[in-house]
Amino acid sequence: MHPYKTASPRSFWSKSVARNFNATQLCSFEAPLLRRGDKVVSAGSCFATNIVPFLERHGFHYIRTEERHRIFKSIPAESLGYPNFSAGYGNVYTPRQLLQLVRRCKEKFSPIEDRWLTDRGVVDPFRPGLRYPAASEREFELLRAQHFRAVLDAFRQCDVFILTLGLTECWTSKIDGAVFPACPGTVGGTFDSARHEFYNFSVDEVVNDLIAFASDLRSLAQSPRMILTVSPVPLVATATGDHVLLASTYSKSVLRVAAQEFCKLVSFASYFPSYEIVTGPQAPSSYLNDDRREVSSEAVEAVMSVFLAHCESGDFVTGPQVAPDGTHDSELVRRAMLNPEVCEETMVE
Amino acid sequence: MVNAASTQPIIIAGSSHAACLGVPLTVEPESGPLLKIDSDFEAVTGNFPRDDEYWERTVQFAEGRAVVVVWNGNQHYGRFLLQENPPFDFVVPCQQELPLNPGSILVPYTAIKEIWRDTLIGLEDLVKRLASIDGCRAFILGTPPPVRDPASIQAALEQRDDLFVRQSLYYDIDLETARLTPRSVMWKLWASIQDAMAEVAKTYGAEFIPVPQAFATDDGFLKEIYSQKVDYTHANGAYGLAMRRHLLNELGLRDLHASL
Repeated sequence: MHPYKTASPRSFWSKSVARNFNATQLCSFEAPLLRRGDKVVSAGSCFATNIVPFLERHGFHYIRTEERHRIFKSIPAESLGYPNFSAGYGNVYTPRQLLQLVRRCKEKFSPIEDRWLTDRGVVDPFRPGLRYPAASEREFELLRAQHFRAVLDAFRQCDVFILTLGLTECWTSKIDGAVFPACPGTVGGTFDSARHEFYNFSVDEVVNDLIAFASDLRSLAQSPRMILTVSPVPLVATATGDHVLLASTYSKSVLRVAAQEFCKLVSFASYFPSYEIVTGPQAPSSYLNDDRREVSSEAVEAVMSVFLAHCESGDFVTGPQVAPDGTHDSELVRRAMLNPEVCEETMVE
Repeated sequence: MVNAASTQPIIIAGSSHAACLGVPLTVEPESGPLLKIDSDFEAVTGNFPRDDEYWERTVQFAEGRAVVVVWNGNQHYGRFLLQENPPFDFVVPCQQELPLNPGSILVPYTAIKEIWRDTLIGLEDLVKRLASIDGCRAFILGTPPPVRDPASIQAALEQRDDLFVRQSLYYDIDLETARLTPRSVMWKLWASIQDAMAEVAKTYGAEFIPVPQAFATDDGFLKEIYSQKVDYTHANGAYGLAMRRHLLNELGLRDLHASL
């Protein structure tokens, strides 16, 4: 007799992956990931935007505190995912970026390089792709203050915070460590080696940043729960000098381990296996598009069907959703995701 | 003749705000395509609302001439007479310290200007064409600021003026509870249109002639003496007369500078 004798079939590759694979069994939770009426806030890399339309279509309460005013219906929408999250922070690629976001909102951190004066207006280095930048510094400060209030408002209302970890590589300010969402000079601003440097986070750093963020979140929200996922989308490019495949593996491995460590240390955090569903050896090749980087709509649907299976059921709509214009839910998502303008990261190419 | 460079009268072409300058909005059978306003100005006549034929006619007369274009100018009334829900406000670069209405959502000025973009595409095309014509000097004339006292507008709202009914339906605003957009916001909207037209002028080789401060109150609204009593959206004949004098001075100064 040994411990494996009593292990469940899901402990064995031969019984749960090689045969009878059921993605829903990848994870088990003591309570539903989302309960009816939970107020959900999310942040993360480009992949994180996939979650939101599914949640909204299935009747979950996704918090939005910084929506575009309706007077702007007739003009081009914001780019780079700014409208896709609870407030207009856009894509948040690293936990350090998220931590600094909340601390900037709480006036606990004020980056020295906090604006770029350009021909197209005053650009926010932390939201460099905004299509409609401020026209003056006074306007910039007022708009930013309004944005910060909206972020705090969202976080305060949050019952569940879904965070999709995307990258470990980032570009920071040499002066004060401020983390930019994109390398200066790619989306906005100008790269200056005297002021900007590359950084690649370790597991410990990611865990520490996540813990610090969780602590800050709990100081804002009543009793938030956190769900962590790791984006299955590989890096567009690496600044390490390594092959991008190796760099990507490092990044995702760090994030995956950090997520696990974090969930061990924080009682209100759970890990959801988006990464494994899409990139595991069991995944069909159709989960990735021809470039072997972009995730297909089929994969997004697979991820979200598992996610929703672990949420509280009820009167929610089940099965494939059809938008009023007749397009399939996941098709809308796919279109949004495949739009290169959704992701600052793609702009390094 | 102040328009010394060409020795020919200045041409004025434009939509409803050109009427106070002497440009007819209706086509009289006896008037030719170019109507003499006085010894210094001629008006391009044609269909109203202005159509491609009208602007084509303007282009045809432009060779060797100074052409003053009056383009739209009522977009702020057409879109924002009724206050939006939620209310919005913004910072205009030319008057950054103007107060913001409490409880309003701050929206980016660059996005506000983008709203006007569609209304200025025709102007861009026109100015581009005028700039390419031999000897033509193209000017875009600023349009009158909004009136300071909204009493007449408020009265029109209370009387369910057709314009308000249409706006409330088109923009899904409940007319029963509707309020006017605060005049400070209306002024900023007007200022943003002037700014957008100035940009068109700069980009496509024309000059922008803003409405002079002397035509406005200290806080920038149209002086009452220049306001029409019934039609609150347009300036009156006194404004037109004063503006023609201003144009003569402005264009004359430009000619003087050009000759130095």
